[in-house]
Amino acid sequence: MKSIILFATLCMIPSAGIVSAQEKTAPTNNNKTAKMSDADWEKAYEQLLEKAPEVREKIENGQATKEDVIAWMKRQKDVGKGTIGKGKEVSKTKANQSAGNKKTTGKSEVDWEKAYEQLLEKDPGVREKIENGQATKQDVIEWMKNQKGSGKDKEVAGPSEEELEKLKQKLETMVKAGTLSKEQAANLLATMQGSSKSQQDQPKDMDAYGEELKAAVQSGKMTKEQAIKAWNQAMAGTKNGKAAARPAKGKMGSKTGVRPGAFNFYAIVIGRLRSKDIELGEIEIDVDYVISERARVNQELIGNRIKLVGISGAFLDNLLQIKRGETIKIRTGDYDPSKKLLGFGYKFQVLERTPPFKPEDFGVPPKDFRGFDGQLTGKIIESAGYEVVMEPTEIKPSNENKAGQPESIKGKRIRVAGFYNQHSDLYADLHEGDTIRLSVSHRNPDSDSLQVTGQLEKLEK
Amino acid sequence: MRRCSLILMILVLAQGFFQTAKADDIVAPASKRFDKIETKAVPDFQKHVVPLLGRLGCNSAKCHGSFQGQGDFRLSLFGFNFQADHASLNDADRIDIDSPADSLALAKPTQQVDHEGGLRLSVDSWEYNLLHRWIATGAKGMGNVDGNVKPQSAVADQDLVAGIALYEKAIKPMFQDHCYECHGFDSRKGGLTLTTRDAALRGGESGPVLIAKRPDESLLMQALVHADDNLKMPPSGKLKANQIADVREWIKLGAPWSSQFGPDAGRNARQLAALHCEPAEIVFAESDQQQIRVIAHWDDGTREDVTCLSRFQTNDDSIATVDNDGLATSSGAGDTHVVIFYDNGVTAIPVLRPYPHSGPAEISFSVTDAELHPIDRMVNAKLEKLSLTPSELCTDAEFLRRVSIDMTGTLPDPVEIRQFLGDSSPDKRIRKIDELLERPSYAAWWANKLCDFTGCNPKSISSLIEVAREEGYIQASQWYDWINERVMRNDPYDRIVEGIMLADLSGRGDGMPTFWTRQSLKEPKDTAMSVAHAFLGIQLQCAECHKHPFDQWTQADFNDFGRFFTSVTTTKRQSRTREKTTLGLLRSQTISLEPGDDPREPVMNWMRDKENPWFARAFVNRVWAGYFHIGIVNPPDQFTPANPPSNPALLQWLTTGFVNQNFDMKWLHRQITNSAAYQRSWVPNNSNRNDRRNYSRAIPRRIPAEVMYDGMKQATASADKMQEVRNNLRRRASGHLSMRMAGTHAMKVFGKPDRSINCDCERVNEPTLLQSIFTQNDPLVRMRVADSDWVIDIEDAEAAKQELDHDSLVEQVWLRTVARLPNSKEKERAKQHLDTSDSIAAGISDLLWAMMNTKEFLLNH
Repeated sequence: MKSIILFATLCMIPSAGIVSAQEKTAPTNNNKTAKMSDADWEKAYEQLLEKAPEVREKIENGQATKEDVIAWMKRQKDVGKGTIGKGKEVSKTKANQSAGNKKTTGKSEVDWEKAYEQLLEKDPGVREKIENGQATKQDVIEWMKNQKGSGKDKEVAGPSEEELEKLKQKLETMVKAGTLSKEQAANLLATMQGSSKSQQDQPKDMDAYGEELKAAVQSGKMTKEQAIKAWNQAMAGTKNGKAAARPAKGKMGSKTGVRPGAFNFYAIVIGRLRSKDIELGEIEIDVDYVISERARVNQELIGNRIKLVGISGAFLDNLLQIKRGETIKIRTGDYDPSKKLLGFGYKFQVLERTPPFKPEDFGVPPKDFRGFDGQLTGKIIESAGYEVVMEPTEIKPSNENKAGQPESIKGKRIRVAGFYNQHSDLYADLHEGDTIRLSVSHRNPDSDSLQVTGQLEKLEK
Repeated sequence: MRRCSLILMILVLAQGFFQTAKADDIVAPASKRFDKIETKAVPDFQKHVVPLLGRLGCNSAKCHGSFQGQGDFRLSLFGFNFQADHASLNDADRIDIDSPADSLALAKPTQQVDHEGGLRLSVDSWEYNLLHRWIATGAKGMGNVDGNVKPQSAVADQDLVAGIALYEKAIKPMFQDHCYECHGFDSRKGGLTLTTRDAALRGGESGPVLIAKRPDESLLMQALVHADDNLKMPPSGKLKANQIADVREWIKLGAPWSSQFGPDAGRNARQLAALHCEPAEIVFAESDQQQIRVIAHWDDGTREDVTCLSRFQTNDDSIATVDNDGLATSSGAGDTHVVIFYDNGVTAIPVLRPYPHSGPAEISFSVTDAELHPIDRMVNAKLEKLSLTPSELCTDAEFLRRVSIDMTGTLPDPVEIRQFLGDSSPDKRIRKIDELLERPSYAAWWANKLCDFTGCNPKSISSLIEVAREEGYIQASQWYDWINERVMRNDPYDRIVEGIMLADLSGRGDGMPTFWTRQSLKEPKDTAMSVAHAFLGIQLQCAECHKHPFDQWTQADFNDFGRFFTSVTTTKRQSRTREKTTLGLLRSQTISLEPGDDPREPVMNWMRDKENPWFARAFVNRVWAGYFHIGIVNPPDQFTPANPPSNPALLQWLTTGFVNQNFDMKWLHRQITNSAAYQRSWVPNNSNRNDRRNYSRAIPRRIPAEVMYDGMKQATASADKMQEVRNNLRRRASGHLSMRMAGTHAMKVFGKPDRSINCDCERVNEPTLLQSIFTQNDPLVRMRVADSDWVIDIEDAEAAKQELDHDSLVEQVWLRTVARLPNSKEKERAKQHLDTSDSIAAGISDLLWAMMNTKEFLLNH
């Protein structure tokens, strides 16, 4: 039963969410030699919980365990290595075909450029990949085309006419036998058809439907299996664009608590406090600097007066003690670009007074160092949140290096991020004052932080 | 005349006869019946042995009643698992029927053998004789005393003997080690208990687990061999092959049970019908003593003097002490209770000693005056018993500040105070009470209290991640608003609770589902405890692990109550019974549930029933405690027989009235606040200086955290912003800020509850040194004074060279903070300070700060 619930839940997760979570959590998937450790799976699990509120809800309600979810992810990964790869090919072909069909039917051409921009806006996971150089615009557009194709395929891949006819007959028999009401039969048929107009036009009340199915099972009118199937199909129908009566639980839905229009934005924002409301937990800051992997958002915020909401509890005490004009350092949880509104983030609990901002203190790379690729050796100044700020003493550029003057970083501070997966164990053992040697790459010169790549070692003091 | 005397004489004689007859009905105390070792009396395991072990301290948490037991010997805590206790006593040579004196059960407590617990009884004592006699007569458990256990007729004698031997050797230990944790005497997971043969044959939610002589068809075997992936027992791992083989063989033999756990064992557990004490009340004069006699009434009609087997404790040893034999000794004036424990019974008798008269009563009062408010009649009756003279009525200014804080959580504003003080009509207090009850701040304050009781905590509503995104605060505010709206329109209390109890979890309908869907309720037991605390004022948590020490609740009661909330807690989407089941509802009734039923419904119906002993009473008591700072039952959420009301008649009158008034909350508030008992001065007289629980005077108490915060804000607000400060719920600590500001330094220091545990004790109203430091120099206080709009207005007026009336300004400071006008001395001193200040604004700022640091500001008096 647990596995059915889990499966049903996972079916409800937006595919992009899973892809994003998996790509993010298992960046070495494409590397045949790379094997994910238990710690990696743990991390992937955590990230999936972040991304998929449905899964989190099941976990919190005890309907699935962490082990269940990790096992499922592992299965998905295995499938990805084998048949899914082929599946993708098939899917692509079908997508191309359906794209071709589209043209012949004379429907309007999709504006992929615009769709790409919108996706970047809506899906921080995708934007992150672009910003980090893990994917290109072309990759994304190609992926979107495939997704669209897949969507078409799903419809095409529904029950055949023959199967539907059989189902219709079976339902009629059940109605005659009194095991199903006409209405229930019609609903089931409509669900199986997937594209019934009534479903498209009217939002299905999934709670009521659930109760209906349960009653049917309890009264013996349906078997448990039939009910589960009907439920899953109805859910699929709902996910395919039909509004549900309950608020959406997706990442933009209200259930997760993200303000409508906002997306996750875990960042450190440094700025001067302009105003504060210690009762409503709101502040306005003139943003001096933002530490996050989303260079585009960072640029949008820096230099502007931004409102931040959602401060509460003991953090109000901290806020009480920071005066207007003083520099504040605060962790954010989300950002609404349309309202230019940041949400306070509890995750790492940062709301404090800080010295006035100086770029060099925060490891902002000088212009001549941007685009660096190679090896750095130096002392750790700060280590938190899978990032370090270090002072390089030895710089060895690689052949890929694009920085004009790599040596310009010597004696200054630089921020290196991305200590996940294979680096996570060693990272946990890194502290301020340690000397490390690591390979880094600054693939996106707009970003203010470098990414750690293959090598990481802690040197003896 | 002679005829009358004759009748009288007959009556007296008859009375004596009936007393004797009545006394003869009562079985003599064990201490007499077992005072000689040669006695022929036979002790009963439940009635005598277990209570004796309890009295000797053997089954206390420090000794064998601890979860681990002591020295490999474990008894149930406080001795309510008779079967298990009997089994434990019969284990490991503790009992030697052939030579009782050699039994460890006797040798250890008499220290003939080394005993870590020390000497518990002497060899020549009646306690020793009782235990000795019990062992000598076969050390029988429950059901065996009368020899009424018969062999299972369905099982052939030969099989029976072999089967019982196998049961004793292998099956019973296996059940104890692997099964009883979930299917034992106190836990019936899946509705199954394996404590008796009947119960095992009857089975649980999955049907019978044992089919005698047919092991392959028995569910128990299937579970043990792990034939079905969904049914593997025990959960800790598969048993050894030989153990499984034993079970198979035992079932083949007909699954006979040995006598100790015989089919009648549970059935024969006697029910204690009542525990009566003589005298029913003790009134001491000076340093007096009184022997308490305890009579147990059993359901079979027998009665026994169990004084020597009972345990005694006093609720206040500064008033009375009590020794192990029930001899109560007065130690001071006042009133308290002596609590008596025996078997499953807990009872308490009031003990009081009148206060000494140290002078003539300052004011006269009456208990019979027809014009008196019923509350005052009942309060005064108790005061008369205690020779207490109540204080006079408080002043108008004191009344207005007190009732405004208690009823609306808000300080009165200066305009209102002046109007009230200037009003000379005799009914102005009654009118003020009616007026306050119509204010939004009344609803806000009591909604805040109902949120306290029901656990409206933003952090517990959602997971941490969601809290980070405001979801918790949004939902907590919705919860608050939902209650506030209903209190505002004075919905009956039971209907408000119904809206919570029966809320549609999808959010449709008019209910408040968040009570159920909060993430902190992880298991049905959490929900059960929360419901019991929020709506019944009872604490069930002790019974989660053992029999409640001060109440009747057993683990089985607790587990049954938890099962009502299994669906709602685990799914957080629906509350529906899956299978047909029967559950006990806290010893009041048995509820049969059909598949699809909402189990919360019978709980709600039971709660709102007029006869429910807790629901209305708990709310009435909490409201009373809100006005008097002490409940009639105190603590207000501990309704137990060991914690009886200080004035039962008063609580009964209020409860009956409240129910008869259709749970009208305003009726309740009106009754309480219109009583003289509520309106008494805090100034004590000679007699009532030490009385804190009989309402002979007002007890000054520190204002709640929310009132302190809102009060400071109001005291420093400008005149034109005063009403906004008083009415904007979004910015009031007794409004939405009660959620957002929870956990801030100010709220912590002044004891605002987090609403994270099921206890009214979360709110702390005691004064502390930290509070003094806070009011003196916390940034919040400094900010309030520095940013005061009123002070800024004065600054502006000074800058504009306006004429400022110092008298009026000083009066304003007093009215804003302590809700009265300054006396001449205070006014003079304040004006002197203004004259020597750098500016009037600075002087007023100083005065505000100083007044907010006075006891008078911080106390509700």
